[in-house]
Amino acid sequence: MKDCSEYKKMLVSFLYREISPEEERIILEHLGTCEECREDLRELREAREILKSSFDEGEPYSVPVVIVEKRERLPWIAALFLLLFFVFLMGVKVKIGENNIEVSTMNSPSIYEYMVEYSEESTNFQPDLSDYKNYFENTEKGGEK
Amino acid sequence: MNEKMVERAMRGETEAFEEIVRQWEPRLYSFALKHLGNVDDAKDITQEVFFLVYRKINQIKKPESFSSWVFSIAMNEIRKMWRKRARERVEIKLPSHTSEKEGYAVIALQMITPEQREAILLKEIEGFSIKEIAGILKIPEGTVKSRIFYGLKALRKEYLRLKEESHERLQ
Repeated sequence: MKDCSEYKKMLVSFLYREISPEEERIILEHLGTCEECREDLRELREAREILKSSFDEGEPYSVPVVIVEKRERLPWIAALFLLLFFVFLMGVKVKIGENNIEVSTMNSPSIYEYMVEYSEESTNFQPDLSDYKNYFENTEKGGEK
Repeated sequence: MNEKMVERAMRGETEAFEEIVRQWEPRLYSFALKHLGNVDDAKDITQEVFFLVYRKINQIKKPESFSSWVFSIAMNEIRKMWRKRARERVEIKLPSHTSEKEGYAVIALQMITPEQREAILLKEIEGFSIKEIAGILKIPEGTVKSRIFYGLKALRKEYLRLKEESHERLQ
């Protein structure tokens, strides 16, 4: 018998009806005996319903688009300047390494701070999310397999 | 999208391209807004994607795959924006006519990983098949399914938590 984790991907195919008859038979048979996978399916359907009901009723967004021709390539002198600047930065990095200073280059998405505002006059919806930095740091997210 | 319209735009007919912009602008802008949660970033992405479509439209090999091609470009630009934003504070800025429910959904979308979000939006909002999404994102179909599975579960959890916290504040 397969481990439950092996049915997760099949559940997604089943959810969207993008499944072969054979796979459908297998997943239906499994759902009949597995409470955990039935709960997963219920949660997936609920999430879909949240998205559907949230976005289907809203007014469509729109933004005027202006296509402006712009220069695609840098002039060679600018490219040379960038190359020299890059060489300079590499030198700085070596120096930092010699002094045992650790530099973090990328923040994890989990430590973003979230603030909400509206582009024009505000509506009734004004959640206060200013304290979300700690919240995100302590929240466990669904991982991927 | 009408294939003939794409073919006319590929031949350099300005009117055909303008029609493509008219048809695609709300779709691309809404997609970027849901993905980034910020009107200014979404406007920048929309402008940039149309600029790239304008410059590269004669490179399309299959006019019937125009949708997938445009979303490949859009995903590249959105990823660039995410890399840029990874070093900054994320500001959620929504249009004033956004409903409460929609606002919570957009915020909940920002709380799942960008990889999960792009797979979910391409599936749920744009209606691409799992196979098409795998092509757009250049990843195996199994990975698309995995991202959708864990992404939808995390999204539901965050959405319900946001609503619950909001109700507690109001009480």
